[in-house]
Amino acid sequence: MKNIGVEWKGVGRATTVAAVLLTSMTVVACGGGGGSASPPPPAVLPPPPPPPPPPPPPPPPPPPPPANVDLSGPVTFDRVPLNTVTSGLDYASISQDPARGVEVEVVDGAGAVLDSDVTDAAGAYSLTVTSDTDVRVRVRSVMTQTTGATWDIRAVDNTNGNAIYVLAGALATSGAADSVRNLNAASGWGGASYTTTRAAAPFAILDSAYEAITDIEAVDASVVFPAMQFMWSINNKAASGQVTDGDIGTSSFTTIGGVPTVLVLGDANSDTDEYDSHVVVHEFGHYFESELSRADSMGGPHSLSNRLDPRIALGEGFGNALSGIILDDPFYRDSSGASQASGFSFSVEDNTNTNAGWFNEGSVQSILYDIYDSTDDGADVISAGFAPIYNALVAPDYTGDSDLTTIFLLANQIATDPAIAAADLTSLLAGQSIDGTGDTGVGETNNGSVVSSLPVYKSVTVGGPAVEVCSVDDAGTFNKLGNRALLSLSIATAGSRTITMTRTSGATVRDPDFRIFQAGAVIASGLSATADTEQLVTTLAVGDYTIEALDDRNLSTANSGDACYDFTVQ
Amino acid sequence: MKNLFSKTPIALGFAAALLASACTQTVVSDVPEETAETGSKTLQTPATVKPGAAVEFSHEITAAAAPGGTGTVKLTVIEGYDAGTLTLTTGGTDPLSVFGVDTTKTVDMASGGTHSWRVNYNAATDGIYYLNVQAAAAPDAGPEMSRVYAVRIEVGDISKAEKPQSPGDVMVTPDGETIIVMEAEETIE
Ligand SMILES: [Zn+2]
Repeated sequence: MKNIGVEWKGVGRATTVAAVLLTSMTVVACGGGGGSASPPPPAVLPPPPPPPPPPPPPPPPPPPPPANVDLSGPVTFDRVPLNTVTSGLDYASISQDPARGVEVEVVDGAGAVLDSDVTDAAGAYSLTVTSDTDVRVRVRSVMTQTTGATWDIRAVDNTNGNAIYVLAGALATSGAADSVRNLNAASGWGGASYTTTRAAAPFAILDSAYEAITDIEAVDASVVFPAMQFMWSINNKAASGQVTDGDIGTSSFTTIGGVPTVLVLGDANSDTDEYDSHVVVHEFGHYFESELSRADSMGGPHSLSNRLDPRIALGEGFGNALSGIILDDPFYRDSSGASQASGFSFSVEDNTNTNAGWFNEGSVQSILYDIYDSTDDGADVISAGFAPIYNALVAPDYTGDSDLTTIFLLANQIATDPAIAAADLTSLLAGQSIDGTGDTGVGETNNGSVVSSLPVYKSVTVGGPAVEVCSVDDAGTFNKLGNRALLSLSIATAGSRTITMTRTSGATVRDPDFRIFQAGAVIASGLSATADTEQLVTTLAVGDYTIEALDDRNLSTANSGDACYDFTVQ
Repeated sequence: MKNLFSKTPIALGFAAALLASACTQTVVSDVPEETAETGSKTLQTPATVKPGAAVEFSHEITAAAAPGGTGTVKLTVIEGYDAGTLTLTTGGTDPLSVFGVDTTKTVDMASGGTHSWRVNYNAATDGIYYLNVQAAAAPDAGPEMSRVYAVRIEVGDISKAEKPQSPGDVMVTPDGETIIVMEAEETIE
């Protein structure tokens, strides 16, 4: 679309120049043919010759070609910053920031698109239209780039048919000369509440994503971002229900209709996230992890001090670290409440984490941020930037590994980067009470006060002895440390296998279940509701697998409890 | 990219009848439900939850209200802290008013992880309203954090409820694209 506009603009300029030259030449020719002073009359002379025929009339000037004019200007949006003391929104400090990388179009009175462009890094656009025509400039809540690094990222209203937000200027004549049209998307803040359209919100969200995609582009010039969308609406509330009603639960990443989607709260006086750029980048990080890397997290509730399943600890710690890295601000802030005036913050640079370890998102974020940042603190002597983290996350060795995505798998991949001294990374991990090694955390000694959580992976063999696994609720339910045990399984000979998990001790009337993963994808599951035992007969190809074994009743608090099981593969 | 929601897949899996009980009571939780106890335990698309306090909410509308009448919501929060204070604040979106002795409540997080309380509500007219809950955790160890939860409350005939608000005019372009037109602040030079 951008190229079409440029070409058309070039043709228009050429036509104008040619017309001017032609007009000048015509004027010169006419001047040359004009009369001069008469000679004096002779005394005796033959009759004068007949006067010469009058010069031919000059050719009529060609009709003036339709002139084109350029419309240009910056597009901006009201950026409401966060108060660094309260972590609430600071409406007294609104700035007009450039709306970067968004689609701009000029339309006629009927809405037909006449030209389009994409704003540059300064928010500037240039459009060409016929002169003296009534036109309107519109800015779409869509960021696209189709060459080099590519993306298609949009902000839509999930409560209004997934409509694109369009910031529209006035219908006004294009005039006879080039002109400037500056468009700003206003916050709608009226001093004590939102009183007019919150037009800036979708552009603020996209601009946080722009920071992320251009920082990633700087590391990988040919990155291809799969199409994704932000769903934001003033109706998006922290209630459970239908996304089309705005009942989105909370700001989150998920997939809707096959499209990777970040849902964003917009509920004034309760919780809005459009200006909480760390929240936006954090959730964008989940999109990145899911679509360009690999995310084995089961999602769900989590907090900095929680002892978590190591998969969600990695995903959430990465999201937090990424927000600090992309925004170059280690303070994650999230505003909420009446007038969006309150909020909370934490620093991903903070190395003092409650319940530090391989199961803690605070530990993960401090390790990843310390790899990135150039400020050495605590055990941090690494200043390697974002590239080693990015390159590890997208490495086929990482995305295709048979082990699940934990800080062990990621750190082991990052350690292969020549920019990282392995001993420095080991120190960083040790600073967060992580001492296991390799992809699976072999030798880890920090059990997070959940005895059954170690070893991180147990090993089960075909025809080998029963392996004891436990599912306990000591650290909580659903996605907490100890809920789900991990087992490694190598299959040397393809064939039918009988996999059995039977309760041996602890609470009774449990519901053992298991899933078999290959490179993070579930390939078989034993999920019956039979009490205290689970069995699956399935064919397994040669290869390495990870099995997640859990008590389904530890997915929620209502019937959670502690029990152990014998796990066998025959 | 259109009609993503033809079947409105609520992939979040939030609205789970965890404690489903009798009658018309509504029980909802913000805990993602990976599995159903009785149904097929398929792995849904996991939904992430943004960072915040280690609290999980659920609620039960123990008495629904007709327009002008009083309804009651039982709120439950499960926090994952060892010690500290948790401040719980409830409020309604106009015209829903929320009242009772526990609209604001402070609990000692050393006293166990599960805390329940009741609030009453009233709305004069039919419609869909929201009761907002904010939990601010100040643990003895670790940063103070908060989390917000909302309860959808249906009063009377919800077909009379106002349609979702739009921040601008919803239009369909000549290309068939649905757009929301928002007026720009514009200067033309
Ligand atoms: Zn997250």
